[in-house]
Order: sequence, then C-alpha cells, then structure tokens
Amino acid sequence: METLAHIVNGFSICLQPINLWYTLVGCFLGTLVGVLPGIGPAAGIALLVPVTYGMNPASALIMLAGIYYGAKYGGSTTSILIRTPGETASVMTCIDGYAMAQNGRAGAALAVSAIGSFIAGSIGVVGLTLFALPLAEMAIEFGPAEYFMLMLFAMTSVASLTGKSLAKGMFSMVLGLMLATVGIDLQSAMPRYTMDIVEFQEGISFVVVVVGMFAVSEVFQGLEMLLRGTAPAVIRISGKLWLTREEWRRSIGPIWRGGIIGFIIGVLPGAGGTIASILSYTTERGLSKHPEQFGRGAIEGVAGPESANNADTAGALVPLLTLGLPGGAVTAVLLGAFIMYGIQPGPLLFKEHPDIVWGLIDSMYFGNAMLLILNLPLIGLFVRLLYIPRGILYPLIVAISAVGIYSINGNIVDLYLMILFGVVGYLFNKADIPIAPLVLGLVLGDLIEQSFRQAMNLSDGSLGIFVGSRITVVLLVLTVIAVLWPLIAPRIKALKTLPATGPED
Amino acid sequence: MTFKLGFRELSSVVAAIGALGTWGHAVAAEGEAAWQPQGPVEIVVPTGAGGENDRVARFIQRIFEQKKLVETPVLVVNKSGGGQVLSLVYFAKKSPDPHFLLYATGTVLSNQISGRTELGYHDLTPIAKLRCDNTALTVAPDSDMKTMQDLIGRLKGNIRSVSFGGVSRGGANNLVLAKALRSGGVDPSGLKMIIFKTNAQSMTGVMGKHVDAVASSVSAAFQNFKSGKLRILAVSAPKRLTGILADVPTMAEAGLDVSGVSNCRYIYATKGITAAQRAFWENAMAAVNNDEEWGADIAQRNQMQDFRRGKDLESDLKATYDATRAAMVDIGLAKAK
Repeated sequence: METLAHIVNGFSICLQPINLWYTLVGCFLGTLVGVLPGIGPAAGIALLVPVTYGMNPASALIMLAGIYYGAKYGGSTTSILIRTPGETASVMTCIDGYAMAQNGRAGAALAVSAIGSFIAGSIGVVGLTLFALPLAEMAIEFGPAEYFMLMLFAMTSVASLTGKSLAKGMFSMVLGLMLATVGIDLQSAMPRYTMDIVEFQEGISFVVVVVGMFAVSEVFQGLEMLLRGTAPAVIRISGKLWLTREEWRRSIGPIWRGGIIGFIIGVLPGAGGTIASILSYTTERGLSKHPEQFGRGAIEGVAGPESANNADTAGALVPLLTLGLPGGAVTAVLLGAFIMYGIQPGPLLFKEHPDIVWGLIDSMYFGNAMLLILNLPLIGLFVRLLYIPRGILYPLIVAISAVGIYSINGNIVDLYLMILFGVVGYLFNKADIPIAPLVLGLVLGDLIEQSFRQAMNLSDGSLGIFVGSRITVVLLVLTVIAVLWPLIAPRIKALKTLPATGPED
Repeated sequence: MTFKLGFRELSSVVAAIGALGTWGHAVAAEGEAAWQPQGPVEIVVPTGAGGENDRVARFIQRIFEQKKLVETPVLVVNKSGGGQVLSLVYFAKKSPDPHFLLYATGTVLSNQISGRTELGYHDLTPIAKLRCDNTALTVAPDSDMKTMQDLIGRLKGNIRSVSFGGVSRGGANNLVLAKALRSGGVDPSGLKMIIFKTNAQSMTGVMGKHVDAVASSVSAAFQNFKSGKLRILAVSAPKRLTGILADVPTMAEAGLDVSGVSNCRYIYATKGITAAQRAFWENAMAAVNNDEEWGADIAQRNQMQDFRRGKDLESDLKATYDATRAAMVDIGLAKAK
C-alpha cells in the first residue's frame, strides 16, 4: 500500500507543468540523438548533464531519461530509409525495415516502429513499476554460465539470417566472430590481432562495421548503378502511408512479445538492446507462417525488434535503480547524473527518495505517449527523403555516416575502417553473401567467448557448469528446440493439416 | 600508500604546500615573467564522455571558470580509445604547448609497463596528484570468509579454492589485491581471476555467488554494502574510512602491505613547458584542491584527497611506478627487468 501511495505521488510530481515540459524536451532531444548515427544516447546525456546543473534533481533526471528512451524511437528512422542504423540496437531494422522501404512501404515501417516502440515502451514501464525489486534478484541469478547459454540461444538466430546458402551464411558469421576477437583480450589483458595499431586495442567498433557494411556499401552499389545507367526509378510509396489492416494484424503479436523479451533482456546487465532485438527477430521468424519473407520486408521483422529495443531501456533501469549498478554505457552516465544530484541509486533508493524515483518512472508513461505524438507526424516528412535524387542522397548518406562515426572517438582510423567495410559489404552483395550473420557474429562473439572462458575458469574446465542451474537448463532446452525447429516445424504442420483435410478426402 | 594523513591533517599540509606554491611562483617570476594562458585551454580526458573521469574533468573546468583561475576558455576533450593510449599519443604531439592538460589515471603507468605503448609519464610534465580511490574486497554477506585471514588461509590450502571477480586484469583494484595477497604469503599468479566487462556484472556476480570475492573501488561496493547485500573484508585505505565503513578494517590492520599500488588521478601538462608555465598550473590545481565542493565530492565517494606537486609528486610517481611494475610482474603482465 505504501508503494502504491508513492506511485500516485510520483504522478503528482511528473504531472507538474515544468516536469512535463522537461519530459518533452528530453524526448525531443532523444529523437534527434537517435536519428544521427554514431552520436548515441550516452554521449547525448553526457553533454547535457552540465547544463542541468542547478536544476531540480527530479526535473533533470526526467529530462535525461527522456533522452535515453527517446533515442530508441529515432534510431529506426535512418535504418528504414537509408539503411544506416541511427543507434546500435536498430541494426536488425536495417534488414526488413530497409527492404520494406524498397517495396514502397517505408511509411508503414516507420509507423509500426513508432507504435511498437510506444506499446513496448509502456509495457517496459509497467514492468519497471510492478516488478523492479523482484527482477533485481533475477539479474543476480545470471552468472557467466547463464550468460553463455543465453548468447548461445541468441546465436541460433543465425539460421534465420543465412538466406539461400548455408555455406555463405556460415562464412559471413565466422568472419564476424573473427572480427570480435580483435583487441585486448579481457581475461588475459593481452592484445590479439591488433597488428600494432593502437586504435585496434579496444577492438573493432560494432557501429563502424555496421555503418560501413549496410550504409556505405549501399552507396557504392547505387554509385555503380548510376554509372551503368541501371539505377531504378525513384521508389514511389505504394498504398497509404499508414499501416494496412493486414500489416497491423501481423504486427500486434511481435510488438507484445518484443516488449516482454526486451524488458527481460534489459534487466540483465551483460546483454543490452541489440541482443534483445536479435532475440525478438529470431522469435518472430520462428513463429512466422511465412519465414521466407524475412529479409525481404516482413513487417514482423521491424515490429518485433523495434519494440524489444524500447522495452529494453525500462528493463535496464532495474539494476541501475535497485542495485545502483549500471549495465551499459548509458545507464553508467545516468548513474553519474544521479550522484551529481546527491542521490545514490541502490537498494535504499526507493526508501530514501521515493518521490524522485517514482516521479521519474511515472514520467516515462507520458514520455512514451509524447514520443508517439512527436514521431507520427514526422513520418510524412521522413518518407520524402526517399524522393531526394540519388545524386544528392548518396553524398548525404556518406556525410551523415562519416560525421556520426567520427563523433564517437574523434578517430580517423574509424573512418578508414568504415570505408573498408563499405567495400567489403559491396563485395558481399556482389557475391550474394548475407551481411546479417557477420553482424550477429560481431555482436555475440565477444560475449559468447568471454562468458564461456569465465565459466570454464570457474568450473576448472568442467562443462557441467552449463547444466548447473535451472536457468541454464531452460536455455539449453530452448537452444536445442531452436536448432531442431526447421526439422520439427514441417511435421507439426503436417500433423495439424492431416485431421483438417481428412474428412474432405 | 606512503602517506598516513587524514583529512584534517591533509588540509593543513595542503595549506602549507599552497603557501610554498606561491613562493615557487614568485621565484619563477624572478627568472622570467609570470605566465598565464594565452588562448583556449584543453583538458584531455582519456575515456569517453559521461564516465567518471569525464565528470571530474568537467568539475575541474567548472572550478577554473567559477574561481577565474583561467581567464581564457576551457574545453574538455574526450580522446578515448586504444585503452587510453590514444589520448597519450594525441597529448604527446602537443608538446611543448602549455595550453593542454591531461586528466590521467594510473593507466598511464601500467600501459607503459605492459608494453602497450612506449609513452609514459616521463614524456609528460607532472603537475599534480589529486585524489585516490580506495579498493574494497567484498564477499557475499553469508560467506564463511569473515576476515582477510580467512581468505588467505583458504588460498594457502588451495589457490584455486576462491574465485575473484574484477573488471580489469592489471587494473588498480586487481593490483591492490595481488600485492595484498603477496604480502600475506600467497602467490597471486595462480589466482582464479574472472574478468567481467562491467562493474555491474562483477558485483552481481559476487551477490549471486557466481564468484566468491570481488576487488572493486569502495564506491562501486558501497550501496550494496550499506543495505547488507555485500560484506567488505578490508579496504586499502591507509586509515579507517568514516561513517558505516568505520567498522571495516584496513589492509594494513590485517597485516597486509598495499603501499605504492593505488588508484589515483593526476594532472599532467605536456613535456618541455617552462618553469613559469608549470608554476601557473600547479597553483591553479592547488586552488582546485582547496575548493569546498571539490572536497565534499571526494568525501561523498569515500575517496581521499592526496594533493602533491613538484619534487614530492615526482618521487611519489616514481614509487607508484615501481610498486605497480612489481605487482604486474607478479601476476605475469610484465617481464622482470
């Protein structure tokens, strides 16, 4: 009951006009930060923290959090329109979102991202409101063995990304895994494959590879077509800008599931929004009646991941607020902001500062609604991007990508790498090798390797640790099912259709 | 750590040093005209925007401006990447421009020792040592290890019987652990070290009993210690901390030596600046050190003020370098010379 009183009191705080205003400012800035590749919410918040100095702590935190979840709304826009992920967790949207835009359904893809983000973001906030404290206990249950099994399960999604040729898919994935090993190894503190290049010591940045492989390669591709005079006519938006009834029907399931997956993954400090969106994509492809459409513009492939990466932000606040432990770069910056205002997140936060915590959490309900209202009218504007003549659009994509990449570290080597991966991506397209498995290998490779070695070190080399807890066993079963699914699914279908067709025969 | 001073004693020493500094300034002024920045000043941060280093660097920037210590614009520039090596490379190229300051951690020392770069503190002009973090060794609250002696006893029985979590192999907290155990008669090279990517994973690791103990900064462990989710066996501070940490013994009380290896923050200028330029920055940093908000910020994080400059700083850096090197050799991260 006491908690309920605090929740209600939180609404009275976040509904103050000044706090509503800061929610709006935060959400608007977040959308901007999300749209620009490279400049992520961590840098955006860090830049604004000094500006908030002297502000009321509740107002300041409400605004800074708005930037965090607002960025997830903006991230999908460039993924869909120009195949450039505005934010790392939007990388999956580059696959089906961009394909949808090529099919003339950019408006629908943008709309479903915004609506999915809103619904899933709200699911996440409800989860945060109701289950923050019990879920903190779940985060503690996850040790190296549990993380390894989770990553292994995520890895099974490679099957859904390989396209026509298994061999080409595997080639792409292995290359991604190899790239993931570059840098100073966490466990031994020794450099691997750094080739004496100082910039490689922290590894090859995921954003650099993704922007190069997806966006820059697309520019090269377009350039070739322009030179050959085979460029397709400007894409016309076919049908209405909004979702069709059929598209809406197909999206609602992925949005709900994505919301739940995203929130749970968000709670785990070692995973993050990118993993959440990969898991959602895999789940949707597994459940889909027409998995062959994935990669060619399946709306489920946009609705699920975009929802998952939004619910992830609310989840990520769970360990931050309840344990005082930030699981990622953005929550680490938020922790710094909390401390600056003399508020220490941790187990005692909900007792010591209930007004600020609940004011912040409650403000996220309104923030998500504002983001939806903010983003929907923009769709009509954003789709016009596609009408920009290619001669102007391509340099624009390169410029946006380069500025974004350079802004991460102010490092020229990252720009060379971006172009290099642009060439690699172009060659991949020529050879019909899918890019997505490489991205997957790069994201998961580091986590899967490190958690495996942590677990092996803990167990003194016994594989028993991977069946040592309930969580690992459940994840192992899920992994086995996911691997065998392509073999099982047709049989289940056959069983289902048999009785139905039986009487007709 | 070689100093044995508390806050009160320190502040009087600081005042004395401050006075000395003004004197040094005057001496420099005799030989050549007193210097002050002629254009914008850059504070280079070796890590990304929004992190703890970035926060403190911006804090210094604010004090510079509020107290009018620097009249020209002051910018904070993040040069992250390459495990902090890139910031050094960038900084070294600016020599001998006095308008650049590097906010640095002990990583400047360890990166050179491990051979990641040839650049080290000799390629910079040390201006001031500012503040130090303490290391806490934590276990789960119901662990049967209640003291450092319990821990050392178990390790002597079987070195692989205790697993340690941490976030950086060869990082400050890791080296404090290694040196403490070595002085307790345990060879740290055989430790079961589990390195995590973030503090969050390492702290939830010990709370969830995936690892038995974690060496982290006191601030990373504090909140969960306060609520009873963690037990701290010992802290590396030279004397007992205050508040609820007053009951936690120091490593020295437990009979362990952690002197020299520490987790401190420094300000460097580029190599080759003049004495007058060096004096200007030393005085500016002394004024930062005397700022009330600055002191409160340090106390709030259970850190320590340990302001040093000039010859005192140089000998302290040399001692830290040697102790860091010895601990790194001990855990196999550097070759003995």
